[in-house]
Parts: sequence; structure tokens; C-alpha cells
Amino acid sequence: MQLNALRVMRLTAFILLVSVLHVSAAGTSQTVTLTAKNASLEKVLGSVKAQTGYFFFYKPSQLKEAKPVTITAQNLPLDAFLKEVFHHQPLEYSIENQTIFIRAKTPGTAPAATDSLAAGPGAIHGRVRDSLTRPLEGATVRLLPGNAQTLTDKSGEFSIGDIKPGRYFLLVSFVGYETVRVPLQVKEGENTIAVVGMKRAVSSLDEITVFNNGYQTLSRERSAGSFSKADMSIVNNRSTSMNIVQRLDGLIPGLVLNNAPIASDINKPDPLTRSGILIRGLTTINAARAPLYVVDGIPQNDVSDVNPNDVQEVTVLKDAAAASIWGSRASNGVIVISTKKGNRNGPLKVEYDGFVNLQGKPQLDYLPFMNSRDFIQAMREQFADPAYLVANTYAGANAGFNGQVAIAPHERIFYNQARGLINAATANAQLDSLAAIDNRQQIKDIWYRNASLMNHTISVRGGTANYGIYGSFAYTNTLDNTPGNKSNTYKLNVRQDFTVSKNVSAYLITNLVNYVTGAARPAAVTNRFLPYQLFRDASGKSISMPWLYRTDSMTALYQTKSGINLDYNPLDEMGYGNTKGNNLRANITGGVTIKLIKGLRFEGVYGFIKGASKTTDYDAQNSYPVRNEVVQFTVASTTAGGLPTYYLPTTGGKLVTSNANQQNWTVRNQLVYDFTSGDGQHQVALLAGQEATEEVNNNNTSTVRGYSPQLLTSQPVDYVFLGTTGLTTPVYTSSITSSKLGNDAYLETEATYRTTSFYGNAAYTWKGKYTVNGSLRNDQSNLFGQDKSAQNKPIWSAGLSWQLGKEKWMLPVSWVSYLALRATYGLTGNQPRGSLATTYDILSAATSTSFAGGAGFLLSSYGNARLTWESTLTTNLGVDFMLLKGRLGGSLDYYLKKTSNLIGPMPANPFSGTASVTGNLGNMTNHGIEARISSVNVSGRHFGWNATFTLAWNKNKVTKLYVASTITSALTMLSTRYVEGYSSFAQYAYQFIGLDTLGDPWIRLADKTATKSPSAVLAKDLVYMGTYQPAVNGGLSNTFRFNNFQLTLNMVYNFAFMLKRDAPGLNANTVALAGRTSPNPGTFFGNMYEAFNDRWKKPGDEATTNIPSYVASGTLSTTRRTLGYYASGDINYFNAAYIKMRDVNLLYTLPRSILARIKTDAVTLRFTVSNFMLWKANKYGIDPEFHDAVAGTRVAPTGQHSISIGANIKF
Amino acid sequence: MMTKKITRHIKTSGLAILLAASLNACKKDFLEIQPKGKVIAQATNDYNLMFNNGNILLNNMDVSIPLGDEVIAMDNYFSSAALPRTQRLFRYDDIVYDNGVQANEMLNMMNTLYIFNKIAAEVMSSTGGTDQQKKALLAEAKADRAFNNFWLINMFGKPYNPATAATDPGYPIVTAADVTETSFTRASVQEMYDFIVKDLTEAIPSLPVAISSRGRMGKAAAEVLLGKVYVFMGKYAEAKTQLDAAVTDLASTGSATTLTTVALYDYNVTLVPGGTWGYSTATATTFFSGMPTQAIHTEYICCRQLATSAWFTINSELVMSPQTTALFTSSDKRLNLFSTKPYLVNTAYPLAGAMRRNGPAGVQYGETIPDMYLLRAECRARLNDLTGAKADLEILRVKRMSAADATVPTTLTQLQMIQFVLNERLRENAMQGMRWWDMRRLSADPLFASATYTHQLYSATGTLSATYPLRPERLTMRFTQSVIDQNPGMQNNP
Repeated sequence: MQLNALRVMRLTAFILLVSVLHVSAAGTSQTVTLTAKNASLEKVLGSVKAQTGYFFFYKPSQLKEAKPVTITAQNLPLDAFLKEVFHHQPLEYSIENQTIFIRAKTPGTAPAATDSLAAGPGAIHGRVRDSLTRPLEGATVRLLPGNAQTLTDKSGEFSIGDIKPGRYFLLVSFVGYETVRVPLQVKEGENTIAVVGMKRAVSSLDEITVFNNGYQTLSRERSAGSFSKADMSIVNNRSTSMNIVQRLDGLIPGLVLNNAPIASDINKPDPLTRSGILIRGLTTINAARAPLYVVDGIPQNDVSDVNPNDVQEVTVLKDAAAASIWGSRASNGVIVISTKKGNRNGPLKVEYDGFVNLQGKPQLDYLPFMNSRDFIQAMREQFADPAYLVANTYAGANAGFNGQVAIAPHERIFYNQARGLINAATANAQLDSLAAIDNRQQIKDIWYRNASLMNHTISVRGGTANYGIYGSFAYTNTLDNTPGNKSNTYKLNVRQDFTVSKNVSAYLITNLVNYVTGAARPAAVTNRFLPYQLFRDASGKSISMPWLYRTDSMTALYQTKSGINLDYNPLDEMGYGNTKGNNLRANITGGVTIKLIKGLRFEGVYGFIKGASKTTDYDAQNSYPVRNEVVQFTVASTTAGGLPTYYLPTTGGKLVTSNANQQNWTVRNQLVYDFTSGDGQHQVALLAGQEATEEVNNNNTSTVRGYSPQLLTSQPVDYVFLGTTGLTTPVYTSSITSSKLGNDAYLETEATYRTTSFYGNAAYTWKGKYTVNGSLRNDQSNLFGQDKSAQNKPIWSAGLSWQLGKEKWMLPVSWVSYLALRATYGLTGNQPRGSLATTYDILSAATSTSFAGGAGFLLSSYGNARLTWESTLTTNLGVDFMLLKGRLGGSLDYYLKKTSNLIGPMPANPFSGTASVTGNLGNMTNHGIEARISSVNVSGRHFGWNATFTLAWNKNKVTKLYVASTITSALTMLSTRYVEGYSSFAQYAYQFIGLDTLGDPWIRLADKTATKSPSAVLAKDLVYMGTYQPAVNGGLSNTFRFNNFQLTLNMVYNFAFMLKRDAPGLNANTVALAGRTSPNPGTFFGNMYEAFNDRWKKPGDEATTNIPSYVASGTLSTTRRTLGYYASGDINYFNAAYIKMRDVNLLYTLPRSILARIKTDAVTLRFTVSNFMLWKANKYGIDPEFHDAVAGTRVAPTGQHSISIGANIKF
Repeated sequence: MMTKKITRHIKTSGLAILLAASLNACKKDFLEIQPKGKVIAQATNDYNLMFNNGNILLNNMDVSIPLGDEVIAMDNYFSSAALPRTQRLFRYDDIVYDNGVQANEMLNMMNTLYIFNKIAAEVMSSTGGTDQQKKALLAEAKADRAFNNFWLINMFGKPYNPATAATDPGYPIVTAADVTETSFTRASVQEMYDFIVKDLTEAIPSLPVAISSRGRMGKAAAEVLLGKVYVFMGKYAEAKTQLDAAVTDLASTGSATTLTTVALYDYNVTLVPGGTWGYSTATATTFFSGMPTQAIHTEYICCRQLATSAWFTINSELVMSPQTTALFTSSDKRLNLFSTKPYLVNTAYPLAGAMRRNGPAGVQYGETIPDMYLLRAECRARLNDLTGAKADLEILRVKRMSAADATVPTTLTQLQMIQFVLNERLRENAMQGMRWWDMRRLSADPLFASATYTHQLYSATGTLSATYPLRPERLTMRFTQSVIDQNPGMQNNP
């Protein structure tokens, strides 16, 4: 039945009309799309009514005189359409108040003969218009089949004569517009009229004809602000991530996505070190750095709930004009996301989009660790040094805290030999057998799996005259590289638009998201683990390795004392526990618009977010962590054969349940006034409103022991005794001196955050050329412990824009089709916020069994009455242009941001009670240039080539920083990232000279003398090595079209930053060049970099290597030399510039002939390969995206060279 | 017509609802919400609970440990000590901290001083408490403040000498809790001592005798502290009055709970192999951790403790000198807290009599019962009440060694008795940093002023490899460079 209805609809559409309700943002006229041949006027009017919602008023008898209508119209404005239709009719019409009145033509009002269009029989006359009915000059019109071709003239008209009767297609194309294909029939002796409306192409050059700042939509010409829109055709086809922001990489000048591990958690930037998403550089040190996300008008902290398939458009606001709209939360920039709407009066459209992205396993070999043979050889060399066993005795190795001591299998052989337990031949044979084993294949097979991302979205659009609906359901399955991890996401999104009456419209967006996750208990194994230790024996049985925690004799002793098995088998362990998470979030947004009087309307936006997340961590009794904890709270029997005393349950596991509940709401009411004078000389847009928000987060965690998942019961624990007195002589202690169990039974935190804001902005445009913008906003919040006076700091902006291209004297310059200058200036700021920035002393509750009642207060924040706003003055100058009839377009921006009173930990006078307090610690500037240039290189019938280039250059400088005393310690300086006079994320290095005859590194000091003394170096002896945040970045997208194929190549580049290499001796990650190099208990470490073999081994080697010698005694090494002189030396910093092919997308769109046969509207097939390094400046093979800038270490790359296949089908 | 009316109605009522919603958000109290788990102190009980702070109880006050003359260093461990601080302190270097490094012992004291100053300044205007409760809390804040100031003046001011105290530069007297304050001037040593005595004498009458937990400063604790301050000023008679009062009040501090019971432990029962603290000789190469933790340690009158010292757990560089070891009799159970072996090493130190303290990890620096008796014994000895001094000493000694050895000889002269008390202080507190404060006050004491002190470093083979004499100016610590940088014009100690 439904199918039938669908077919009828499709048939109607095919034969009679294809209708698209086109609501242009400026609220201008409705448009009509219609192909009719000798249709009755009544029928045509009916379809106009259906498409536009306009009513016709006429007497039925009047239409008897009407002539049949033949017309082909595409997106033609209603008025123009009606003019064409009534051109040859004995009738005329007028439009009043959405009603079209039809009456008989009065004599004398007959339209002038269309001489200009008159031609011989068998001709086509037509006009080409844009969506604002302006004539388009120079559009190419082709008649297919055949070779007839022409261009439109100044008034957008064209004519092609001498056409044989028959069916044809008109193919109308114009740079920057979607090519239109109009079917028509030419009859002998008849003029066929074609009026073609052209729509801007989505990826057109000046795609921003209107922009949405989340509050209002303005035409490009009427705003002075700096903003960019993403090319949604690229965003939609990037099937490598389900995060909308991640899909913007390289598309927006000034938006920097730093995927390096230190910065990469894009949703939760750590305030201190993360810089994953930055818009126009860093303007704060301690406040949040991420931009503000606005989804359908509601500010949100996180965009992971948004299905990229639902996104209609993304606008990034960058300057003060943005912040003064969105308030203090917007000083890092705003990303405005609006989602799709339903079609009014359209047929029901169903769309499917799906993809599978295959990412493979991480590149473990990227970490340059040794194989077994090399490793055993290196160990032989270590132990061969007589000093080794003196400095690293068996007794020392065999003792440790908490009963944990790891002696690796190869070490055991050496120690056994040294202790005379085995002879040299036996030891050698045992070592040889270890050297012959290679566990890398097992590591790769057992601890990793192929990662993939799969998404299916099905969406529906439709509507009636008064109602539109868009709905989508998405299922996302994420398989990461870790076996046992599960992640499924279900998203349901429905947007409904209602026209309640002529003056009232409303919408409701309901977005439900359910994340279901799971995890087992895999071990964290990489190639850093000892290369000979297998996980499975030849028979497939998993191998126990209790030596990872302690020696066999100690394991036996503790097992006897506690009566509890202390074996450790990593593979079996994997199934002994699990984590399950279920997170449900509902985002509900509603809005209403009420037209009050002419030009004035009321708008309300109401958002509500409710989130409930539950996570359970269960570790069974037989899991190692639970067994280990029980033993720590077990006292051995003092009598032989007696039973130990257990203070924790010995049956059942440990269950940790965490609940996170979130409830946010936003209420915004605003009045908007739009006025355009009759002559169009004056345009005014005013907006004023009030907004209130509340965010409540409640988290609680409970822990029970002795839990049985079958019976759902747990057992009691004596927290009072175990927390106060504790056990001083258990089998082994949990801390250095004793075993104590803090009260972890129940923990709860709750935070409420409220704001109320008033804002307004105004724009005035004169003659369509000169625009003045201004905005003002005041935010107040319930920032606890804040003085009210600290809150009253209005933020504002002012802007000017000049449509230079519209000036008369510019009109003759025919190669410039659009030119506008804009400037904004404004003040934005970060409110002192968070628990650390308060005007009053804040106490936080604490519990301690040391005090009566068990409760007390800690001083969690010192009041600082002098704390003031962090404020940024931003200047933005920009130019937008379109040249060569639209073949070259783009924009250029320069900005200067001066931030003063940076909020951060500021040195206080130590006599005041603290050495550091949150205060206003300094100033910072950012300036930079952003450019976007798009070009249409080839625009042919079969072949087209477009390119877009984005570039952002940012220069950041800390101009003032209050510090207690100048940093003089070299070690402190090495880890300092903010220094007056330098860019943020600064790095410093020693001036390495070379090695001496002991293989010790020497450096040059500031006074030109050389030293290797560990204590001789001061901060002034270090040299600045640049910043690890890329200062230049952007992207280059090339799109090639060949008939039904489209190939897009998206490149991203990052330049002008430095990284520290993972040099040997840097830390235990690479190799410690002194002392024992074995793993710590419980860690899968112990291997060393291959570069260990290239170290200094004997005098003379200093001529050929820079890698210091290995010294068996850690003490001797630290007293004699500092390995950091080499590892953190200037030679180990490298230019991290790189260019990556982020993705290559190949699209194939099925031809119409096939579509008609399979009864679909469009089918697009996608094939994507991602992340190919095209060029990198460093010679070490390091991928800067997978390098921890602070630690200087590598991370095994994931998701490189991934492949996606996807399809988009529209019904 | 009808439709129009309805539309208008919907319009009006819809608008009214929306306006109401927005007006609600405009209400003044919309932003006035009290967050959970966080408080701005207002109620009297808020100020009461501010004393229940683990940071007041446990701290990092270990600076005096390497300074005492009972300490020697063993080279193979000493030169590899992780931080230069240990070496510099032990060598009596002028500069202990590099530029930019803060002295934790000063910051710790200033951190809690801020809390006490805040309570003292605000509690009387708090809400909900009785006048008596407020006064008791004010008194407690003053007594606690005196405790911190006593530490600070003994770190950064010269030892109290009545002749020069009025001109000796001391430490700023800080009474305001304000982190934006930037101007501080050093008060004289005399002014600081006067301030400490004033705070304590004002506090004692209002302080409760019965305490709620030993983490809180009660009357007995404040009396012990004032007694100690007087001893450090050489005012033994005034000191004895306070200590007598403390001994009396101690009986009423409360014994209802494990948090308040006060009593001496008998080491003959607790600190022997198989004893109640689980002591075993197996700890010789590791450390002993069986002593009750601070909150339930009954010898504490007011608990202030160094949380964990690596010197008594895993570090082996600082050991007790053979001369100090010789002061113990063989039945002295306090020796069970020492080992002849370095940490995790099975062979003894190469120097006979060198002993590593191997527990407990924490160091008591609050007011304790042993200290109360030892201070009173010294006062009695100074005031020539030798019988009284002997009695006080034996109260403690009988709990530490065999009854036979515990007896103090009756033949001692006054000076010998004073020396005996000082040696008993050493035996009770060896390697715990207490000796340093005694060395300071004795330097201003005519009886002992001529004493000189030298630190000795022994090589890996047990031979003396270096000596570091203590110069008089190093009895006083220097302020760190950042303190001086932030207080232009402030004179650092030489």
C-alpha cells in the first residue's frame, strides 16, 4: 500500500512536476520547479499551490478561456514563474498576502509583444536567473543531443533557433552553480520558452552567501565578522570518523586539529597541556582552550552526540564579533552546527548512508625495539662488565616493596650463573634458546586486532505545507585495536518544523543517543616487552608468568602464608574481569518564532539535555588484582599449619559501579527586528535577548567486595579498622609501611553551574554597500566564591564592512565580480572560573578517621580579591573577493589578539600562606593571517577541476609573565612551556658537543666553556628550540570530475614546529643507559631501542657515535654525567613539518538511466583511502602526529593507510 | 475571525509562558546556589571543622633531621642521594635550595598558618555558635598559630638570646589570611617570641581540657608548648609552671576513644620480638612499620607528624653516630628501631656503631608525653630539683628499658643531671630532628655555649673521609632566593 502511494507520488513528480520547497534564508520569494507540456492552467496552478502554499482566487468560469501551458522551470521564483505562465493568457494576476488573484485581462494592459524573444519556428528562448532572480550573464547553454551551444547575454537571456522538432535536454552551466538539466520538447513552428533558475553549488566559491551565527542568519554582505563555512561535500564524504569536528581537518583556515598524542583528545582538552582543537592559536593558559560548540542554537561541551550525516552546515566564527554574541565561553572561537530539516510539501525522501572504514592494526614495528637475538647479545655485554654485578647485586634485585620484585628470565640465568647455581655452558645454552624465540607475531596476533569503524544511517525527509520532518537513525560500531573492547552507538534524531499559523512557527529536535561499551582485561603489551617471552606455548596453552610480579621462591612463600594462589597468566587474566558501560543521552531542543508586528518577531529557543551513564567494573575473585589485594590484607598464621586471617572477602569479586548523571537546560528569548526601507537604501537588523542556562553534573561511585554476579550479593568490609589501624604485618603491605584500606564504599560529587546573560546586536546597511555592526553582552554566573563585582564585565564588538565591488567606479573592472572589505574590533574574555579561581576562600569536605566525627574541611582554594577577567582585545581585518567571473575566489584575514590578565597559577608571596595562587599572571599576543582561495581550473562538459587552498599562520608570544623568581635551574627550564618573550609550548635544549673518552656527553655553556658536570648547568645555558604547536597549517583540496566520477584529494600540512626525538638515554621508554634495564614488577616492558647497539662502547667510538656509553652502576652514572645532555640536547630536536594526504575519495554516481530503472533518485558509491604521509622534514621516520611532544616518545600509529567503502542512496 | 482569535490567544498565552520562564531565570536568587561538597566558612562549626584537616596533622617537616650532631653520613649512599638537599643540609652549606626552588618546610608552616589566621580573624563573627564555643576555637587557632611561629622563628631567626633578641632579625609576624598581601617585614626574634607567648597565654584559659581527637590542640598540649617555648627562652621557672599544669591536665584529656586516650607505651611489651607491635629482627635490612599510626598513637598529646621519611625506610645515607649509639644501654628497647645494616643489604655498615634508623617511617614533632616529662625533668634539674628530675626521667625510662637499667643514678651533680636529661632527649629522639633544636638553644645557653659541632662523612670502607664544621651563622637557615626576590629590601640571613 505504502509502496503504491510512493509510486503514485513518484509518477506525479515525473510526469507533472518536481517540487522542492525552497525557503531561502532571507525569507524572500518562494520558487517553483515545474515541467509541463500542454497542461491545463488549472492543473499548473494546483501544483503551484502545492509547492508554495499560496492560494489562488478565481472564478472557475474564467479558466475556461485559458490556453494550455507549456513551460519548463527550475527553481524559478514564484513571481517570475507566474509572469511566464500568464504571458500568453487572456488573464492577469496580482499577489496579495499569499493569495493570488486572477482576473480577465483588461484591455490595454496586454503585455508588450515579446519581440526580443521572437524567432522563427522551432526555437528555444530562455532566461537564466539566480535564486534572487538576478539575471546570470555568461552561463553556458547546451542543447542535447546535438552541438548547439550559446551563452546568456547581459540580461541573462538566450535563444537557440533552427531546431528540429523532438525531445531535448537543455544543459545550463555556470561557474559556482549547480549544472541544471532541463528536459523539453520542441515542436514545429512553436517557440519553446525555458526559464532556468540556478542554485549555488554547495562547494561553490563564495559558498557563504548567508551565515548562521547560531542566533540569527544574515546575508554575507551584511556582516563584518570573520567566519568560515566548511565544504559539506567533503565533510559528508569523509568516512573515517563519526566526529563532525574531526571531519573538518584542513577545511577551515585557522582551525587547527592537532592529532599528536599530547593534544589529541579532541573532546576533553586538558586545560594544562592539550591543544587538540585550537582556533587562531592559544589565548589562555589555564582556562578551557576548546572552542564553544553550538548545535542548533544550544551551546554544548561535546559534539560526539551529533551524527555527521545529520549536519546541514558548519560555520566557524573566529573573531570578537562571535564572542560578543556567545559570551565569555566563545573567546576560543565558536563552531556552529545546524542540522537538517524536513522538506515542506515534498514527497517523502529516504536516504541511506553507510560506510566501513578498515584501519588495520597499529604499526608496532614503528617502535624501534630489539629482536631477541640482539637483545640477548646486548644483555650479555651488560653482564660481561665486572662492574655490573657489583652495582646490581642479586640481593638488591631480589628485594622490594610490597612483595613485588621482577627478575626477568634472562636475568635469572645470569644471576644463577653468577651465584654458581649453573655453569657457564648451561647459562649459554639457556640464553641461546631465549635468543631463538621471537614473540612479536604472538604480540600482534594476541593483543591486537584489526580496527574498524562502521556506520549506517538511514534518514527520512518529508512534510506537508505546514509541517516538515527529518528523521534519522544511525548505528555505529567501533572496533578498536584492543581485543575484547566493544563500542556500539545508536543515534535517533528527529527534527520537526511546524507552521502553526501565519505568524507562528515552531520546531522540535529530539536526539537520543545510546552508547554501549564493553571491555575485557587485556594486558598492555607492545614491542617494548621482552622479545623472547611467549604468551602461548606450542600446544596453544597460555603461559603463566608470575615472575612479572615476583620470583618463584617469593611467590611460593606468599602462597603458603596466605593460602592464596599468586600465579599470573596474562591470557587467562583477560577473561577474569569486564567493564560494561551504558550511556543514554537525550538532547531535546525546541524553538518558536512569533511574528509580532511588521518586521518584529519573537524567537525562543529551549534546550534540554539529560544524560545517564552507568559503568560497572567487575574483577572476579580469580583475577590477579583481587587476589593481590586480598593477600595484602591477610595476616599469616603464627602457628605452623594454622589458618591465615583474612580481612577481605576471599570469595566473590570486586565490583565498582559508577553513575554519571547530567541535566542541562538552556532558555533563550529574543526579539528580532528587521527593517528594509521601501527604496532598499536602508536595512536594519536589531536583536536583543536574554539567556539562562543550568548544568548539573552528579557522579557517584560505589565499590563492593566479595561480589557474586550470580547471586548479586556482596560481603561487608571493616573500613573503620582497615582504614585507621590497618595491618602492619600482613603477608605483604599495600603501601610502603602498612596495608590500609581507604573508605571507597561510596563517593559522590555534584556540581551545578548556572548563567544568565543579556545580549544585543545591531546591523545597519546603507545602499547595500556600507554596513555597521555592533554587539554587546553581559554574562553572570553562579561562580561560587566570586565577588559580584568581578562579574560585571560586558564584552562587546564593533564592525564595519564595505562592499567595494558594488561601487560605481568598480563596475567597469569586469574581472572583479565581488569585492568586500571588513573590519571588526572587540573585547572578549574568560571569566575566572573553576574551583581554583575565587574571590573567597573555598573549603571542600574531606573525611578522615583521624578526627572525631570523621569529617573535616580542606582549604581547596585561596580567595584572591584582586582576581579579574582574562580579556582579549581582537582586531580583525578581512577581504573577500571573487575574480575572473567566479573562477577565482576567496578571502584573506589578518587578526591581532591581545590577551591580558591571563588567569593561571601565579606566584604569591610565600609569607602570605602559599607559594602559588590562581591569579592574573601575564599577557599574551597572537597575530596571524588566514587565507582561503578557491579556483575553478577546468569547467568542461565532461571534465571539471576545482581546488581549494587554506592557509593559517599564527604567531603566539607570551609578552608578560609574573614569576616568583627567574628560572635559573636548567631542569626546571626544560619542562617550562610558558616563558616571557617566547611562544607558548616553548622547548629548550642543551648545546650538545659530543662524547668524551668515557662515552659521556659534553655540552657548551652560555659562556662558551664546555662541561659534562651534572651540576654545572643553569637555565641560561639552554637554547630555545621553538614550539611544538604548528604555527603554519592548512589544507589543499582538489576535486576532479569526470562524467559520473568524482575524485577528491584532501591534503593537510603542518609547518613551523619542533619536536624532541626519542633518543636513547632519554628515559626508560627508549633505553636507560645506566643500571639495571629490567622491567618494573607488573609491567610489560624491558626491551630496549636497537640504537643501544650504536652506543659508545670503547674509546675512539666518540668519533662515530653520539649515543653515550652504558654504565653498569646507576649511581656512578648520575655522579659522573647527565644523560640528558645528549638526550635533551639540541641535536635531538627536529623540524616536525609534514604534509599528509588526509584522504582520497573516489565517488561514482550512478547515471540517470540506471537510476530510473532501479527507481532511486541518486546512488553514490564512495571509496576512500586515508592518511598517507606525503612528505616529512625529519629523517628519523617519525610521524609527528604520533609523537608525544612533552615526553619525546613515539606512539605506535593507528588508522594510517586505512580504507573506507561507503554508499549513499536516495529514494 | 474565530481562527484569528484563537491564534491571538495562543500567541498571548505562549508569550506569557515564555516570559515567565525567562523571568524566573532573571530572579536574583537564580545564581545564589550553594554547591555541594564546597563551603565558604560562615557557621561556627565550619571553623571547628577547619581544624579537622589532614594537612595540619601530617606534614613534611624533615629539614632538621640531617642537621643534628648525632647524625653521620656514609659516603657510598650519601653521594648518590637523589636530591642535593640532603648533602647540602648535612654539609651545613649556606645555600640549600637552587633558585626557583621553594623551601617546603617554610611553605608547609605558612599553609597551615593561613588556616589558623583565617579562623582567628573570622570565628568570633561566625554564626550559630555560642560565645564560649567561638572563644575556644579562637584560642585553639592562636595556640596552633604559636606552634607554627615557634617552628618558623627557630628555622629562620637566631637562637633566642635575651641580650640580642630585640635586635636579631626574626620572622614576619603574619596575622592576616590574605594571599594578595605582598608587603612583609621581619620582626625581631624578641617580638616573635613575645607574640608566641602572648598567643599561648591568651589561649590557654579558653582551651578545653578534654579533646575530641589528638589532632586538635587542647589545653594540656598548649601548656606543654608554652613550657617548651619558655625552655627555649631559658625561662625554666615559668616553663615548669606550665609543664606542671600540663601533667595535671593530661589526666583529664579524655580516654573515651582511641582518638583521645593518652598514655606511655611500654616498649618492653610492645617493641620486642613477638611483642604487640609485631616487631621482628627480620626488619634489619628493611624497616619496621608496626608502631600505631599518628591518630591512635597514645603518646601524642597533640599530633603533628612528618608523614614518611625516606631516611627511615629506604635510604641508607644518614646513620646514627657510634658516639650516640654508645649512649644506649643494651636493654634499651629504643635500639630496636635501629639496624646496623643498610637498606636491603645483608652486611653491616663498615663502621662499628653506625646504625640506620629503620622505623617508624613517620617522625613525631607535635606535643608528646615523653617530651613533656623530659622538658619538666630539665626544668627541675635547671632549678636544682634533682630528685624531681630523676623521678620524671624514670617515668619515661621504665617504659623504655629493663627496670634495672631505668634507674637514674642518685649521685649526679646538677650539671650532670642536666646533661643526663639532654642525653635522654637524644636517646628518645635520635635521628628524628629534635636534636637540632636543642643544639640551637644550647648555643645560647652559657653552660653549653662553648660546644662546637662537626659533621662527619665516612667512606665506603668506614674511614673518615670529610668533616663539615657547623659555623655559628648556619644555626639559622637562609630564606630561599625566591622569598628574597619577592620581598625587595628584606635582609637575608648571612
